[in-house]
Amino acid sequence: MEQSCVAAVEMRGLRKVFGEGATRVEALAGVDLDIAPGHFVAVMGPSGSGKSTLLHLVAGLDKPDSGELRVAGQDILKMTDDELTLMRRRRMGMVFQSFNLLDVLTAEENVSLPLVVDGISEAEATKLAAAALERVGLARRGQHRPRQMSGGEQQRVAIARALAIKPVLLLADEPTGNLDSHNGDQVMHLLRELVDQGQTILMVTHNPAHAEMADRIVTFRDGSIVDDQWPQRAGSTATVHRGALP
Amino acid sequence: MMLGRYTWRQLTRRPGRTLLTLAGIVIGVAGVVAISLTTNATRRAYRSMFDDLTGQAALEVVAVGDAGFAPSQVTQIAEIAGVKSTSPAIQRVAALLTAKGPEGIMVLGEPLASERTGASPHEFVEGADLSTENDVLLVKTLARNQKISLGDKVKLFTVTGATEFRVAGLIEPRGAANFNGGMVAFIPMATAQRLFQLGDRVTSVQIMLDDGVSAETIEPKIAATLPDGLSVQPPSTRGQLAQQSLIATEQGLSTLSAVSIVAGAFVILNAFLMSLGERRRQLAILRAIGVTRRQVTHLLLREAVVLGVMGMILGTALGVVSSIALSGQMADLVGVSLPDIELSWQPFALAVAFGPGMAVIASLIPTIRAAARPPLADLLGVPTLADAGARKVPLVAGLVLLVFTLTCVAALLGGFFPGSFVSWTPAPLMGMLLVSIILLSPAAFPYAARAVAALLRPVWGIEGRLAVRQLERNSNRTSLTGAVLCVALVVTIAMGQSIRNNIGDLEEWTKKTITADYLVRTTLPDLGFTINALLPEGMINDLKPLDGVRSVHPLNFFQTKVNGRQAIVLARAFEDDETATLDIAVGDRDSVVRGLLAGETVVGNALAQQLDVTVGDELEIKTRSGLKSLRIAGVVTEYIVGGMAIYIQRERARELFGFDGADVFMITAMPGEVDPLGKVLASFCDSRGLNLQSNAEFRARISQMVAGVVGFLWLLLGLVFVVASLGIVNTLTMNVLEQTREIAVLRTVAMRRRQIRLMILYQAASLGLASLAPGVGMGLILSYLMNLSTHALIGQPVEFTVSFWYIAGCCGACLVMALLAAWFPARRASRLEIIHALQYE
Repeated sequence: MEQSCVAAVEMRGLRKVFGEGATRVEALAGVDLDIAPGHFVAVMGPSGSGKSTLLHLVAGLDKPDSGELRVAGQDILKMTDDELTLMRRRRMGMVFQSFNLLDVLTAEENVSLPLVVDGISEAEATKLAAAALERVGLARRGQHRPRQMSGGEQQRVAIARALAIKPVLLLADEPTGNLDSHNGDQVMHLLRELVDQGQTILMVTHNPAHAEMADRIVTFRDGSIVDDQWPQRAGSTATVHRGALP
Repeated sequence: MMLGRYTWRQLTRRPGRTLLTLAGIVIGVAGVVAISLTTNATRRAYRSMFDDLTGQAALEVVAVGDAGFAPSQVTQIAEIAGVKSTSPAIQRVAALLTAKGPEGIMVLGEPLASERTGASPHEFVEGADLSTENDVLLVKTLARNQKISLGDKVKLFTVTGATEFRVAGLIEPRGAANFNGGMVAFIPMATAQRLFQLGDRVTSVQIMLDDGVSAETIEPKIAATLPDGLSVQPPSTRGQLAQQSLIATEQGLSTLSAVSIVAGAFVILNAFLMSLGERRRQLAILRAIGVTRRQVTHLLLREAVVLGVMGMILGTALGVVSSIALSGQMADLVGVSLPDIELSWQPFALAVAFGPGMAVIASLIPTIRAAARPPLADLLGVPTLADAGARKVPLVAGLVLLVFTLTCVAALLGGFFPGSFVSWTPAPLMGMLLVSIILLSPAAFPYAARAVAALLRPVWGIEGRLAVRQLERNSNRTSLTGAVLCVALVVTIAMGQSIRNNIGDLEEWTKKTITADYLVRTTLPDLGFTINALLPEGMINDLKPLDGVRSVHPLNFFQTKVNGRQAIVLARAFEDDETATLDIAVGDRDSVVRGLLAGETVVGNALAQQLDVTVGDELEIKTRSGLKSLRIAGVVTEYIVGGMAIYIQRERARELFGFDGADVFMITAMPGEVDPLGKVLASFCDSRGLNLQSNAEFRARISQMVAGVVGFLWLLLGLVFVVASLGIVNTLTMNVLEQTREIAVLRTVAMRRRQIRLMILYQAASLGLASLAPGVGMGLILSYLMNLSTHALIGQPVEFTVSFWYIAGCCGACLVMALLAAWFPARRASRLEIIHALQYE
């Protein structure tokens, strides 16, 4: 797979603290991490280790207290709220543990929502949404509401919503956390397929088996990276790459 | 389109909440539209009434009193540049004697067909023009209503008694024939002069102007040529007093409009706050997937607009229908026929402003705040500091607004506002006061709730304690719901107290002023006393000898100018205790009566305030011999024509104004002879086609006139309470949903269905009880301020009394509504399927 010279994500000395005094918690204690395009990075660690905080910062949902953070070459720490929102809309896809679909909309409408909001005509958005649903194997469920679907199907709709915008980076926060093992495996295989097709994914997970499906496993503890592995995977086309980019 | 679908589905997802918001808008819009249409119709009735009568005449010359004047006194007017032509006219009210009793009818004198120089101005449906001295032309609508046909004989009663006429023609209700819904009769001019004892006099000279000449510029030129006792005015001046007397009623309706708007807006705000509070996660998802703050705000405001438009349509329809009913009541109140409701643009502009406008304004701040929330906290379900800080804003705003409003009220009462402000400022001030109460209520409510919980803790069991815990669990929602109930109570107490105090004052005035046992007249006058027919002066000699009669006193009323203002003169006798019945506001009784007997005058409170005069001052009164000064002997509470009246001893008034005949004969019976005299008088009046009213019937009539309009006010207040109870249904339903798993647990550990129901009912009872103290307190304050403002508006103080039973009734109604509203959520809670409920998330 060809790789771009620009990292999908670059962070230097990223720090985030919550609370004050006795309740002060250093969620991230100066993290350096680069994520290359086309890679599947899994972030693991116990609760409170900082992994979800890292994801929220990359998504622009929160701001660090210090450090540098660039996504697709853009310094997101200097962005306004609107710019961050547009960044999420156009360049990042988000998948959540609790799916976070809007239950008043159908699957197709959920997927096309970011496109419509971005000003794309509804006809065009519907076409792109249908293609995204096809990609995740739910072409026939477009008119169903979330409550009419299983957890696995809902999560695949959420993935389709993230993919519809053709993101530079797909962020997944415990995507299999609320799924049974069968559905969880299905979702993970889907994510793996996407990476094999060139998608960059940053995923937070508790599940070691699912983390093994990634190209790289970064382990956090107490706000710092304590391990950074590149497990060999059969059939993987990703170049083994350690540390910062050249 | 997709965003439109999102909006629509969001609205239909919670039908109860949507209905609640819609109800708030509908009430506000319906109130405003109904009141606007009705007051427009009422004003048009009087404004156009006399314009219809006088046709193209831009001005008219009239005499003071009822004596009329010789047209030769004003021939010089025709020579003034700008005057196209003049036309003498006779326009007097008589009583048409019908099978149902006498009906007031405007009689116009006209030339006979043979005397006309041009074509008849009438459009004939049947018959022909006047040809003999006893012919009459009637309007076809009047003829149809009274079942009168061409050629029939009809009787008109005037100061000369009953005179029979032949119906020579039936005409279309056009021009002058359209007056007061067609209550017009045309008779030959000479016959009219004879009937009304005018001799060769007329009642007015109509002045037509050249094209392009304005009445305002030529009026002073004409006035300068007139002898004493005559004045020139636009024809609509005759209806001005009636319009003036309606001001207090209109103001009351406007205040209620303002109140219904504010209450409606608060319901919308409440519903939106609850809705947005529950949709935080959903809004956070939108923000997380790339919807900007502005886009979220637009999306939410779109929901408000959709609801606003729906509410506008429904509210307008309800308002139009209500205005038809309200107009009927107003017509009864004013005593004239009101024109059909005119669907002009103003009420609909108000509907647009108060429908979508109100919905957007009420939801704007919650929407902006919701869109501005950092999405992460809501995605994670973590409370933020913004929640706590947000409560301070309405508290501060409420306090600031309260201080500002009370300052304005103090300025109004202290006379610091210009006179033109006095009539319209009370309504918005009351609205602002209500808004401040609304802003402060959510902050005050938790304290009241805690106090209720502390008081009742010893008496209610585990169900009550759990109920209070649940209310505290979602304190925002509880405060908002309690505040709605509180505001409903405030509005009901304030408006209800005001209505009761005003009616009480009117009843007190009636008791003090009208003490005669019976009133004999031709017809019942309208509110402005513009349509009333005279009885012959000599009839007093027919009445006095009747068995059981102790005394007969005539009363006259007619319009004149007092210090340049249109006012009504009430001329009657004040010789003794029986006749000197006045509701004295300033002055002592002996000096007032002495002054009246000496030829001085007594002035109504409202007129005194407008003229800024009091006892000892002089009033300049236009009489038949020019302006005369009369000293003010006293100031009285007066409800006739809104208090724009003066009293003068009858003989003195006859000297000044020259009238013959009486508008009313007031008859007092011998002790113990009231009922027998009633029968005698009934026979007397029946045989002559006159109207007889006992004192009790007179008071009942006043009550009935008022009741119709007041009934509308009570209905609107009732609707405010219903909407408040919808709020409770909403809140308790949400509480039950949130407690689903807990209720299942309680049922599992052996709480019975009845106990679950009781728990929900206790929540409703707590909400209701906690609303009572702040609601009653603030309601009484608002009521007192309304009472003070009434004084500023109508010029007479209305005694402020607090009816314990009324307040108790309102509190009882509040509690009952709260418990009734809880019935459905309580039933639902008690019937939850335990197994499913245990798994509920």
